[in-house]
This record gives sequence, structure tokens and C-alpha cells, in this order.
Amino acid sequence: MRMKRWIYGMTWVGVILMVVFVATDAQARGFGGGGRSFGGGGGFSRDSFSSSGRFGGGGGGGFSGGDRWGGGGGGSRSWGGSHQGGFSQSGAAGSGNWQANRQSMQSGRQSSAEQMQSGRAGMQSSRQSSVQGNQANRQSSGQQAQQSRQSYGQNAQQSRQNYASNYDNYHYGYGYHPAYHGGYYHPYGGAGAYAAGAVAGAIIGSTMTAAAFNASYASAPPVVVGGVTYYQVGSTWYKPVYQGGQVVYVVVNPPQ
Amino acid sequence: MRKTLVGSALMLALTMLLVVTPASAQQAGSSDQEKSAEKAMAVLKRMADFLSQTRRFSVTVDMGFDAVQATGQKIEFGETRSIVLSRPDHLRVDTMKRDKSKSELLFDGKEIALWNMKENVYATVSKPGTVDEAIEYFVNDLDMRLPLAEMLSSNLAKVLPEQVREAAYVEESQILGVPCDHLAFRGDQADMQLWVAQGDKPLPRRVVITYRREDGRPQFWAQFSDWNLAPKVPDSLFVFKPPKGAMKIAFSPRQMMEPAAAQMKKGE
Repeated sequence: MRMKRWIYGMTWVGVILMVVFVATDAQARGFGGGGRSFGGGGGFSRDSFSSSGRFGGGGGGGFSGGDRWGGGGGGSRSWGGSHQGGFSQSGAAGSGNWQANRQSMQSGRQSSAEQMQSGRAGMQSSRQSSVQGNQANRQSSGQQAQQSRQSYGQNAQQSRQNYASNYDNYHYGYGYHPAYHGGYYHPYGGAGAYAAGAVAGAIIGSTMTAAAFNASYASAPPVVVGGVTYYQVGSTWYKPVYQGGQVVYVVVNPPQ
Repeated sequence: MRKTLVGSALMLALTMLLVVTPASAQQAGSSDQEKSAEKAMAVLKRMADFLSQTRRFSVTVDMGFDAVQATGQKIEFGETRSIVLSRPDHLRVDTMKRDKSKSELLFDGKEIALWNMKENVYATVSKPGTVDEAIEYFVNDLDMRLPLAEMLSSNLAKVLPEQVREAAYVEESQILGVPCDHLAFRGDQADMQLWVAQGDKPLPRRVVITYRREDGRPQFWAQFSDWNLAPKVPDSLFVFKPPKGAMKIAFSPRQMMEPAAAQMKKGE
């Protein structure tokens, strides 16, 4: 009888062990997720939605209705988007470097530390915070854009439009700039310079892309002062420079 | 009594089997993974060593990248760059964008010069030193764009493997008829796929970078062709002569906000 009880006991121990093990294994498998599916014995999946190469995608295999394509208000408006000058070329991918350059290196390493937390929970939270971060960035960038546009309201309407397109082009794919939206200031934008610019009607240090400048002021003749080339449009002086990977026209104080 | 004993024994055996099997299977799985990672890292190192030790080369790189629009739509832009590198201190990069605008970047060991054909403007800046230093200065301090700058570094063999967090060997793969090893890496900011030619010249043939932390996960890709490891490199190739009517302008890098101001912005 004692023997029997012992055996029963052992059996239960066995069963419990088994259950515990299976659970642990499953858990381990789940947490291993990233690594396993990445390097795993089986290799990489070729299944991909985009591999079909179909534009319409989805069930119907065609466009999924005009309003998604045309966006809110309708038709062509959203196609042109807010940047009247066409499509923005901004973005991290333009840098073509694996590691981001400049200041972003540091922040990148920090957030990777977050991600190193094992397990899916850690991954998720880091993804969340990154989404939040992006949102915050977008908001502040929106504010910035609005501010600039408002102050530009002092200027001619046409110039405001150009500025809007310029604002996008200005980000032209240089690199990964999480701090970027937090703000670069324009090198000429000291307090004194700002006041002078406000009087002149355009903010000293604000920039236009070469394309935007040429579209508006192609007829403006170059003026060379002290070996530096300027363009004068009304009372506003522009100076072409290389900035952020491209030629831009920056508003400067009138040359002395 | 006896039946129970047998039953218990069976149960125990079954338990043991269940305990042991997945454990060993898992071991096999992770060692496959390790092998794959080791193989990928070995090819990467071989490529990086080879490329950074090559005294001079020329190559044509066709590249494209996604620009994620505010609407979320991705639009691809791109360019073709002809690169001539002659270590330690000569570099020339001729760029033709898809919109046909051309530019030249020249470094002769003393001066960095950049010229844009469309606007017919150029800028020069004195920077005596090596190509590595010039590139770093150009990208970091002058705030200019040079895709794949990393690949031109003589430190590539040291720096690149350090940036890898995960590695895997995908498969053997052909790029424009050249047999390659297809590798996949994960870094802190981005994932990278790399196709490296097999054989005694392990040169990169294709690279795809996915910026997975960016909205819309934009990609950059580049395809390498016309590799030449013995190009003719007369000094004149790297010396800038301003074209007729070209206007000299300045580099005017964007600058970071002062920390205090940046803090204030954040607090809003």
C-alpha cells in the first residue's frame, strides 16, 4: 500500500514535470521569436504580400475605391499634397548609410539598449515608445512648419507657397535625424538678424531650394559683392549655399 | 499493483522522452543558427577586409531610396554614382541624378571641391588629410550627403562588424549573373542585406538597407557594377578646375540648436 502510494506520487510528479517543461519550452520558443525566425534552420520565408508585384493588391486586385486614392477632399488635391512643388525627397533612406551619421548615433544606441531587454514585452514597449516619439516629432514639426508659414505671411503669397514646398525639400535625404525636428536653427538667425529680417519682410536665415528659387525668381540677376554672389528680389537678399546636401538659397542681410 | 508499476514506469519514460526531445531539437536549431551567423560574419569580414585593403578602385553604383510622403506613400528617387578611390588621399565621385542633374565631388588630399552642373555653382574647402578624414568632414561637419560613405572607409573591416547585432546567411544568389553570398544583418537603426561576390574578389554587388525605425520603413538600395581594381588614376582626375562661368558659393551646414533652446522646445 505504501509502495502504491509512492508510485502514484511519482507518477504525479512525472506528469507535473512534463506539464511544466512543455510550458517552459513553449515560452522559450515564444521569446526566442526574433532570433529564431531570423537565423533559424529553416531559412527565410519568401512569402510576401509585395512579392506579387500587384499594385491593386487586396481581394479585388484593383484600386480600392477613389477616396482612398484621392484622399480626404477628393481627386487631385491630395495627389499634389501639401507640398505644391511635388514630392518630398526627405527621409532617412537617402543617406544610404547603415549607421546614421552625426548626432543620431547616440540616441540610436540608447534606444537599442531598450530593445535589448529580452522578451516580446520589451520589444513591444520599445516599439511603442518609438511610435510615440515619432508622433511627438511629427507634431512639433507641424508646429514649426505652421509657425514659419505664419511669419512668412508677412511676405508675398507666392513666397509662402514656395516656402511650404521648400520646407519639405529642405529635409532632403541626408540622414537619420531624430533630433532634427527638435530643431536646427538657421545659422544666420541671430536675434539681431531676425529683427532686421522682419523689417525686410523675410526671415533672415530661411532657405529656399534651388528649384523653388528658380521657379519664382529666375529673372533675378546675380549681384557680386566682395566676391560673393547674391540675388536681390525686392528688398530681400538671397545667397546660394550648399546646405543639407544640396544647393539652397538663404535669405541674408543686405551685403555691405 | 503490478499494472500500476508498469504504468508509472511508462509514464516516467514518456516524460523523459518529452523532456529530452525538444531540448535536443532546440540545440540543433540554435547551432544551425550559429553556423549561419558565423558564415555570414565570415563573408562580411572577408568583404570588408578586401575592400578596405584595396589601394584603389573604381565602381559604378546605381542607387535608389524611398522618400515617405506625409500621406504615407513611398516615392523612390535615385542616382548613379561613379566612384574612383585612390588611397590614401584621392577620391572622385561623379553623380547623375535621375532628374539629370549632375554633380562632381573631388578630393585631392588638400581640398574638397563640389560642383553642381545645373546651377553651375561650386564650393571648395581646404582639408589636408586622408580620404577617411575628408569624408567624415564632408558628411558630419559640412552636413553634405554621400550615400554609402561607410563603404569607402579604410576602417570598414573594423567598424562594420561592430555594428552587427544579428547575422544570417540567406543563400547563394546571383546578381546580374555574378554568383554571390546573400547575407542579412540587423543593426541598431536598420537592417541590411548584402550580396557579396563569391571567389577571390569578395566585392559587394548589391545592398539593401531598411530603416526599420523610420515611419514607413523606407529602404535604400544600391547595385554595384563595373568594379575595377586597377583604374588609371592620374592626379588631374582629382584636381578641381572651376568650369566656365561657375559661381563659387559656400558650404553652410545646418546647425543644432543650443541645448537650452532644444530643451525648451521639448518642454512645449
